[in-house]
Amino acid sequence: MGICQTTIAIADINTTDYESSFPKHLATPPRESLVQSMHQTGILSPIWVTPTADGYTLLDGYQRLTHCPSTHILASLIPASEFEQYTLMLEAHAEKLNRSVMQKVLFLLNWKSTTASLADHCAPLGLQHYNALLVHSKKIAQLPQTIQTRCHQHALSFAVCLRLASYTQELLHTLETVVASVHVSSSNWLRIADQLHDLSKRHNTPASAILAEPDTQHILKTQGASALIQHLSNQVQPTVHTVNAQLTQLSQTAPDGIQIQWDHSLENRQLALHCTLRDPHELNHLSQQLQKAEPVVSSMMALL
Amino acid sequence: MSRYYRDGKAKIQYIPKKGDVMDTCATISNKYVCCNVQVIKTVSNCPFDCSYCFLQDYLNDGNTKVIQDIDAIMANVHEKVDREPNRLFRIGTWELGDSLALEVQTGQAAALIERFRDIPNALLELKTKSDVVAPILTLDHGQKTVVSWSLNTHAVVNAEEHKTARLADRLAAMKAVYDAGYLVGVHIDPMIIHDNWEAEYTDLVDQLFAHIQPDRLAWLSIGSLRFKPEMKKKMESNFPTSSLTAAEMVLGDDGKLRYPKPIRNQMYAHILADLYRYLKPETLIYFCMERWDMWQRFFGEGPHYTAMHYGHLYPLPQSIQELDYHFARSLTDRYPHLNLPIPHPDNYL
Repeated sequence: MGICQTTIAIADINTTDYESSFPKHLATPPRESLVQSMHQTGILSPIWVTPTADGYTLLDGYQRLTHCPSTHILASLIPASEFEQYTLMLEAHAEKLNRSVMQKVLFLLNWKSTTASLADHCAPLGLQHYNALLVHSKKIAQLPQTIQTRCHQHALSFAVCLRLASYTQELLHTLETVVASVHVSSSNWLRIADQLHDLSKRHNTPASAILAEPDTQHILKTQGASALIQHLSNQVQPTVHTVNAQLTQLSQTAPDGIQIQWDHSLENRQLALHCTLRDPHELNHLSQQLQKAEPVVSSMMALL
Repeated sequence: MSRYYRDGKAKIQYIPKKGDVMDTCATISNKYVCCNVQVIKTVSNCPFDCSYCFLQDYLNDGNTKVIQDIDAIMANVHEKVDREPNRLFRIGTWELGDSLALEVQTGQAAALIERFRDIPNALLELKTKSDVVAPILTLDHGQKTVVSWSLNTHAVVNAEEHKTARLADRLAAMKAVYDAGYLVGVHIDPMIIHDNWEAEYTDLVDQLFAHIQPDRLAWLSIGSLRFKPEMKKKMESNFPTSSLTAAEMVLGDDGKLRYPKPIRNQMYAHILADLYRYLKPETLIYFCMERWDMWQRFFGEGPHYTAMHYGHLYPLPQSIQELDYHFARSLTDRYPHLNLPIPHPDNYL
């Protein structure tokens, strides 16, 4: 099958999928030169659409479409057959393989189906022109099937899939054992993956060994995913954790009615003192409490 | 466009100057102090392969490009420095590449050195991790060029700074340049936590001052490892054996990951103590891309004031422009024979 070019009514083109997939494009004003050129010479480069039951779905050319000075527009019709749209789209962009194209591939992957495996999706991308993309796609295709399914279930982005693909198979299998034992949301699942990756790399230890630590196992079994994340986070950031623990301890010695907060990344050397005033007559008392807070404030500032 | 990160490092492409090539160092941020150095983008990309290098994420076009037209570059420089004759400009060529690594092929640094010799209110800074100094040793530089080295410990150079000159070779090159009468600069940046880092950095400082005397050390900067979060994956992909990305880090207000502040404090206190065993109080030391409160801690008059403790002459700058003024003061006081414009705060603030 090939590409067919024809003029179609703009009113028949559905842009909803495109808009939800590329919200940034909506906020980006079109280039002045593009608008001028469209008005002077018309649209030279056809937009890309694929036929649907009640018209067409836009694949590429949002700015051209929305600023078209006419009621009809030149379009390349991409057959809706399995996968063909990917290869044709990519062929059209052979000379400018970049992030934008990657985004569009992601859009196509998401738009097309959330049930097929990524390996199936990636197979038709094996064109010589797209070596970089192919490398990435192959990496994703090598993710364990369970992880691929999870990527689809949670509609994870291409970038996240790539990140997961850069992790070791051992880590990914370990991750699956976590999922098998407790309920984990997609964001927590990714955080655990990142934390295990960092710890595993830092200590040159398999992820399974980190997870097999008795206290880690205990937390996982008794307190769930959020507690596990906190536990791993303390290990990923031991210095930050230790200093924050000291600051927490100090802050608990603040006078009654005064709460002391700080930037837990420890980057901003400042404290926020919170107090509540219900009556103007309490001002004197508050002032005294603030005076009393000076030692704890000084001790905390010394740690920041 | 080079499809892979390293493709463009192999071949030099000579390009004409397009638009303005001189600008203030792009790292300026209102929560972090930068030194207000000017940069001329004469080279883009670098033959070296440091695991932490931001170029692996920054360059869209991975080719190594060199602007060949020195006259056009200098016209741009003159256009800016002639406008403010009473201000001293420090101008570097290292923002998007190494100032000397390609010197044998391009001769660019030599051409710039000779041109800067006659500019009364500007110093050229060449910053390098190479040992390519032979082409510039015999030039008539008039001490208007500061040849700087980015230095790190043996362990970091060997593990992370691939294809660069080894530490001993850099120091030997620095000595050759020093002996040729140049002012030199040192950038101990990025400091990296690794096994035995305290002893390694102490050894680095000892080795540095075994090769040069502090008298012609124009300036010295210190900084710690930092990179944007999105670079992490690229670093892991390009340098799978590097452990830099696995370190404990926090996200700063400039969107870059750094070691947590307590660790940075420890590193800076250590290196400053080592440096002040050799440095004179009038040598200007500064942090590269550090927070104001870090400056306060080490250069202010608070409870730590490490630098003041060692007699560091320059008060805590209240602005980036004031730091620029301190640079000018340090240089005019120490090198009066250069006849640099006498600094006045009004010309900087």
